[in-house]
Amino acid sequence: MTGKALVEAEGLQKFFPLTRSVTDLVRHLPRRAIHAVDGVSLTVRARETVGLIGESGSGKTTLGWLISRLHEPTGGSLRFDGEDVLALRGNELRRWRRNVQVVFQDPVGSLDPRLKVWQIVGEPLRAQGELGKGEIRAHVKDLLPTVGLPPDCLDQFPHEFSGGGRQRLSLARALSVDPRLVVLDEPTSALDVAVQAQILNRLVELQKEREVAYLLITHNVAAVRYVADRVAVMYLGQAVEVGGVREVLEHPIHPYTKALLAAVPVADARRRRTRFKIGGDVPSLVNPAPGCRFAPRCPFVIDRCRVEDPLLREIPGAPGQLVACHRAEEVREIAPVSLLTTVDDRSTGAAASA
Amino acid sequence: MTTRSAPGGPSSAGGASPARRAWGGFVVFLRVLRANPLTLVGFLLVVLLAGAALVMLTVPHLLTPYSVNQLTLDYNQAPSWHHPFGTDGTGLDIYAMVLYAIPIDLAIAFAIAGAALFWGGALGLVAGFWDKPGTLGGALSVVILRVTDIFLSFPSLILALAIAVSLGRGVPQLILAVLLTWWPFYVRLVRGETLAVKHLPYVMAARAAGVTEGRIVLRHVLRNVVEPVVVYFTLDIGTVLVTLSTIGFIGLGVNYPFTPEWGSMISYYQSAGLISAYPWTVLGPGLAIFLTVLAFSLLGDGLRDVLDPRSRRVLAGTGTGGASSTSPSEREGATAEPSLNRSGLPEPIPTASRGVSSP
Amino acid sequence: MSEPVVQIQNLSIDYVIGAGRFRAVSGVSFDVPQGHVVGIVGETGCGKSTLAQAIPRLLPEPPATIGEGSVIFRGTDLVQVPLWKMPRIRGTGINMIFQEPLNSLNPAFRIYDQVAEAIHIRRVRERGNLVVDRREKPPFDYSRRPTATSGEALTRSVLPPVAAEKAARHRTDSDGTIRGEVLDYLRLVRINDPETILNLYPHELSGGMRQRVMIAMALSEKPELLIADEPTSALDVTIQAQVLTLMKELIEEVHTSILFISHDLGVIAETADELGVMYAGKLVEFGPVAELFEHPRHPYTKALLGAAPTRYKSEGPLATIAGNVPNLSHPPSGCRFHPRCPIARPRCTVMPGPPLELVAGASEGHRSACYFPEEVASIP
Repeated sequence: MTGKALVEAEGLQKFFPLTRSVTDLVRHLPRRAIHAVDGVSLTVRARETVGLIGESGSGKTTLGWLISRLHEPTGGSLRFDGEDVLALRGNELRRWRRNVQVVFQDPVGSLDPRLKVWQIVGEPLRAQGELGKGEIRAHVKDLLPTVGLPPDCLDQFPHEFSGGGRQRLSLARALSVDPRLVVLDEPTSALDVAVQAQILNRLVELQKEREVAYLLITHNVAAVRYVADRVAVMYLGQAVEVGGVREVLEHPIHPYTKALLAAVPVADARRRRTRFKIGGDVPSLVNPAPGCRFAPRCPFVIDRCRVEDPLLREIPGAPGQLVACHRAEEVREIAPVSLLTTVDDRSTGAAASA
Repeated sequence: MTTRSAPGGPSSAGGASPARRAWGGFVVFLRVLRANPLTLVGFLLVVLLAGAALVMLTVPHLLTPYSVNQLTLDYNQAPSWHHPFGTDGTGLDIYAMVLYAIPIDLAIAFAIAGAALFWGGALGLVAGFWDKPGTLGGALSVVILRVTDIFLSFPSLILALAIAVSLGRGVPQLILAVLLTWWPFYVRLVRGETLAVKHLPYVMAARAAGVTEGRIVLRHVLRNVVEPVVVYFTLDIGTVLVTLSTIGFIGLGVNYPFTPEWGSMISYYQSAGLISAYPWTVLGPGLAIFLTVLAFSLLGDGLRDVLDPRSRRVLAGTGTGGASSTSPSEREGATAEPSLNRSGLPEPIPTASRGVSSP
Repeated sequence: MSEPVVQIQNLSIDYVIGAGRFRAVSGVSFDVPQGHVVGIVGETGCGKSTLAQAIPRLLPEPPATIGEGSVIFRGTDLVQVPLWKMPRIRGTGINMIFQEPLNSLNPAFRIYDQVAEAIHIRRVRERGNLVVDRREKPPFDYSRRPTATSGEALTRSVLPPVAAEKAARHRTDSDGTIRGEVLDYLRLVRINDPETILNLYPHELSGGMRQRVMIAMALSEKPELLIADEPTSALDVTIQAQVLTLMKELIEEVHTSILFISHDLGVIAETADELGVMYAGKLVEFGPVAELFEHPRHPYTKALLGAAPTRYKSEGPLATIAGNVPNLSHPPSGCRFHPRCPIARPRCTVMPGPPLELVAGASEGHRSACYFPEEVASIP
């Protein structure tokens, strides 16, 4: 089973400042910023998979990059295996990077088109500067079969691979230095369904073999259900619900989690008659208003939600499940399906004969 | 199902010796040339020019019986078998002078464009990659860009003329004068390309892999910036030549007839006022400028295809006829196949058809 | 069954690139009945989008060429129509919604100008006789707009209210009727505060709003056939659900025939009446959605349904489809799915492969290109 805490993030923040316009300067308005990640605390234990789900703009990718230290956080603390990662600089940081590797979303863009397979996959090894060219080639050759690629494609270019093949290359690159955590940033969202399933199955096998922890960033609820042990749901830079994957996906408490689950299209002809009840648009991340971020779209909103930030807290009766909602106790029994209305079957016959 | 690319394709030369790989690359280059006749014309013209320049530097008498500035006894002769471009009033053979100008003109053009590429490119790379505000690099980037803007805000030809006037006549002065107005374009170009490349995911991937920033610049950014810049450079040779000719034509270039140079030749004969009586005097240098500019322009357009490993395969006819740009050839298990996209379609096809792309 | 809006008969589309040539769509035949939503589903590279763009002849020709077959629309074969005449058929006849709502709107014009242009085009055609053989269509029926069940939430304002008077000042209302109609259409797609939206540029809208504008533009030309090419694939899940809900409501209100292209079986399930499944350029199964989902009669459909993510499944490895998607320049002989098919027999490899035929014993209109449709149910 899973072990002790590997990554401990406390109140991580990442703001991207906007350039101040002249009118703002004249009006003495404060500098505005995109609050991409706003106070997220998350723990990833050794050998476990944490799924991070949310829509675009929810800050899930930014959080993944913060944890892999590709971004400097604006605030908060980050510990890896008890060590303060944010204090690392220069060569220390470079050596630390072998612990955390990233698989990026874009299977085309994340591989340098001018490098060959062995150079791409061996890049982290080379960056660690311990091995020579021959050793790197040999290592890559051994590594490729573990991700389901033939060992003899060392000298090919990435454009010769399909999307799934490229994503396997990315995976091999991440695994080349035996990291303890791999941040998987939407690893399958650019792939076809059948190929997605192959990659996800491979990920699960590799985790068993290599005892690596995953942070799986995705909007694919089904993938999380299959791969992850625990799941964190993010909305507009904040974690709204954290817990075991089964608990959160089968008994979601936060209204947003319910909405997300209700919105996922399912291959079921009865869906034709359903209507999604959540309206509104995702608000801006620029200096967001106080209160719950989901309040403008939430069907269960009360006045308190618009004023007071809900804190991530444990709900009585749902151990291990943290929810950031003022009305968690009241809404917890409401099933996601109730966010869909079912209308009478369309008068198809009439339409057809018209 | 094996989806390997056909033998002989550039990729399957994997593991071969560097010499063989280089040869393979050359073969691809020739195939690309065959596929694009205009590029082939440009390439042949450039080869011809380079060959002529080499000959003129070593054994000029293979191409012309006259030495530099050697006077013949024929004055103001129309083009004939002995004097293909005629002679001028002092008895200079125009054909010989045009030939002697080839290495000089090419050298000046390459020196200017090359130096501009090197310095402008280096500055552009620095300004593009380290542009984070509030850091030392960001400050440097701002300085570079503002200086570039100042230079760019002058009409470059007039600036070059002004510098040329103050420096006096001569080849080094001419190079310096044009170079001083030429480098800012490369700063802009390389910076723009760098900005585009540095936000690509593979640069971030390299960073995540622990690669140092300097190495990222050289290995990932520079390498992907080089291609459009080389194309631009090739096209630019022609532009430099035109500018040189313009400066020469105004009379601020090199000192013809002591140094043969095409633009100055035209200027010299035109200012003598004899252009209507003896039009052939400007015909030769004019033709030389036209052909040289044309050659580099044609070659530059074709180079784009040669340099891109993706389009190169298709143009070269290896691995043609694929299904879609991303035929997901996947198989699980130990017997996994190389999931190759053997189609090797050029980028335009999938985007044009939209059909073969889904999110 | 009512008369089809468009009949696609044995349509084949080739791509010619350099010396290579491959058939992206081969021998596809189906009808889009009047007022129906026909979904086409398939993996990347199966030819579904090529097909969608070939119907209004929007494919770049070359490299694409329509090899054979016909697209019968308003009694004429669009394949034979010269390309320069096609713009008269596009828009009011056949309209499209694309995947990328940002790229499909002109960034230089305000929303008003873009919607007004579409309405203007339609009015010109309605007035003149540019449109050949224009048939009677069921009129727009606003009265059937449902009362605010989801509408109330959907139309909640998300933008800071700019005074409508200010907007009116900016725009001298010379052609007030167009303006009114633009507002009508924006309201139709549940855009609240359309007076404000009118004066915004596309980049100022969110993805969901842009797609709504695209839908409004497409509908405002009152097309007889609307082709939606992955209209929600670029959107987030909850926004996608909102747009799909809107589309479902509009399907009820506006009886436009829709050809709906998606790679996502779930999205298709939300909207389509009939479903066609494409594999390697061929239509392998076609029939009513519910029937296809419950009793697939082609092994590929079955496999695709199995691999489609459901949030209910949790245990065991995810289902995959063995083998690779074939290379279309050298497709497998016979049935193109046979190398990956669990029930393939020697007969399946024989050319020309199984035709798309009605399945005996299945419900009406269910066709499958498999020799052994009755065995599909036995595949685990």
